[in-house]
Amino acid sequence: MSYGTREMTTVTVFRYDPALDQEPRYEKYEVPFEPNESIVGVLDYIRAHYDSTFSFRYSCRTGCCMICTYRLNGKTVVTCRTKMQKDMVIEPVNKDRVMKDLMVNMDR
Amino acid sequence: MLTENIPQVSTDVLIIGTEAAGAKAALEIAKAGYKALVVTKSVAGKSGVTVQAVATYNAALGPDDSPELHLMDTLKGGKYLNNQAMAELFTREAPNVVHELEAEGCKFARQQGHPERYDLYHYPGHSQARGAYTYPGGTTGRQLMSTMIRALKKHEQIKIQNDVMIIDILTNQERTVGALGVDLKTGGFILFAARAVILTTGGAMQIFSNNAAAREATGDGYAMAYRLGLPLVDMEFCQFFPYNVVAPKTLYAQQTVCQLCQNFGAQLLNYKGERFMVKYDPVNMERGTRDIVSRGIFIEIKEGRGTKNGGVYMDVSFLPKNVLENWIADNHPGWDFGGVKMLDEGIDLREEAIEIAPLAHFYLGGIQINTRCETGIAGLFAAGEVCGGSHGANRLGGNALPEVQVFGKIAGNMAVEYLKAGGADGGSFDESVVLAREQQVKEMMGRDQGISPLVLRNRIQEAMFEVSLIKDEASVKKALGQIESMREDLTKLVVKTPRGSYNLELLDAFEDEFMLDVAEMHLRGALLRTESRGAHYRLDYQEKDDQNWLKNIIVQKKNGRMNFTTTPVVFDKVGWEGLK
Repeated sequence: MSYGTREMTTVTVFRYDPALDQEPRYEKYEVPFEPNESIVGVLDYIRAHYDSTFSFRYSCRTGCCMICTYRLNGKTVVTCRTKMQKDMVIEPVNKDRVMKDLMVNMDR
Repeated sequence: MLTENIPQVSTDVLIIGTEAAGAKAALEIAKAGYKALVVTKSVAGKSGVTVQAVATYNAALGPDDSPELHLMDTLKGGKYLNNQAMAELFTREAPNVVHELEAEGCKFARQQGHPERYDLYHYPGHSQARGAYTYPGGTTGRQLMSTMIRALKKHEQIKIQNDVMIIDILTNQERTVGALGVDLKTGGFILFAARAVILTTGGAMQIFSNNAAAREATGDGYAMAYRLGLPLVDMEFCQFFPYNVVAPKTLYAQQTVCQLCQNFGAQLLNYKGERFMVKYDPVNMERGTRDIVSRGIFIEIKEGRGTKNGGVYMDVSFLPKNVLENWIADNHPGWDFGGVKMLDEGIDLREEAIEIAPLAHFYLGGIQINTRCETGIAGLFAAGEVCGGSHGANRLGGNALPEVQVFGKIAGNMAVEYLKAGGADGGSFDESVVLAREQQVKEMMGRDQGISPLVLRNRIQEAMFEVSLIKDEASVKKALGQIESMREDLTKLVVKTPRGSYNLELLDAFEDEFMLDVAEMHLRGALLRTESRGAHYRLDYQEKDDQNWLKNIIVQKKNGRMNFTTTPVVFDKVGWEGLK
């Protein structure tokens, strides 16, 4: 965690609302860079500070349920157990199953 | 019919909650040839707290153990407040349920060279080793759920529906006829017509900001039952687990570090580096009982001597390096704590301390049921953490999974019995319930300005944090005042997400409403209980008062008001003389 002026970084997030958007888009958000923060914490930050309509799945935040698994810079990670980095790109694992933003249909 | 535009689904039994209790109930119903529809507001097998159960499944399986000993430990652990009939039932049935899980393919650890003997973990508070667990360590809840989901999918009679949040149980003349939900896939309402309903919605640890629970644990079942006028018991009791990692966030709520305190005498230090337990338990220090250690940590944090991540330091750096390294090698090879390598996260316990804090872990109170899982409304059953009674004022480690599965099984069987006797015919219900919800959503989505459901959530959690581990009359009254004024905020909520697929804000809004009900029950119950016992601690009444408080507090909605009564504990399985 930084002191004084917070160091910021840009995170790029996959967004798509079938009710509004013709096709998916990528939004950029400026968030504080805090080395101890998890990626799911960053997604929380975006929802709380930028856009309350942003939807993503998370549940236990303790690495047990795994439903906060997304792609970080193309690589699949459990985001509650993965530290944030600078210049992250966050996308759903399977874009074909997206219901809204990072929320995918998980019915099997 | 005014609600005819709402999609309607019919089933024999609707089960609200898909995890350890709900899944078990569904299996019993399908085996009897009836249809079960199991719904979750998240994803089946991955929602709620079952998958978070890193510890054990307690049952009297050891050669020197018996259900009677298990019961005795459970009652003592519960500080005598347990519903003894419920505790007796789950401790007696626990071994059978372990065997049933094994028959479905769940593999519990055996002793090396003795495949007929379980390898059992010995928890504090238990007189015997009775904690059955799965390999690899820390996966008991997850393996249980993957076994259950596999078992559910074998039955054509069972349907699982993800992404549905139930917001009202529908009744007709004191008989359950179904439920109203929000289908998060469409953003619209969905009606379930059912001949019986089973509530397995779990606890309400989310009412506190300092919680370790899944986001689903918002007390939906408590609030829905309360609104139907059903009695709830012991709602002032929520258990906190003392040793949870709070930083880095990638190790958040990691609990196995507790062994460092229990086995290696880890020292707890506040932000100033003071070994503060000397103030709270000068004799036992960090090896004091969990409740005393939890309160000590909480006071340090609240009085501003915690770390900036909201914890205190746990230090084992004074140990010879090889002592720690050998423990790590045996228990966390590669410094792996649940898939996260602690060294990679920048924490080297040989050199530095880790930050920990007590977090809400298990809700002890809940819907008052009998040993048939009946709630008081025909056709409405409840099982699992949503019920109160089994654990009294404090739950022993490893006792949650057997309790919720034993009662899940009973609830399933009792629903079957009810259907065989006729059940409900899926009859009509009071449409005004549905119309009021439609109006509420219209208003939340129509407002230009107001309060975000997420903001309200945070306010509830922060108000409850203040009284989470330590209460007195003044602090509880203050929190109660805040909660009451937040009820007015419910009429100002704004949902900006347009109606459509996956509206997380709408989910938050309904959950906020439920959390406020639960928070109020918790606070008013705590105000009434003028003693300290188990998970409930009053600074102004620090002693356990067996003279006046071998009683359970019952909360029930009467004439639109939250009404409290007390009822003496019934010592029908083990007498008071045999316990104290």
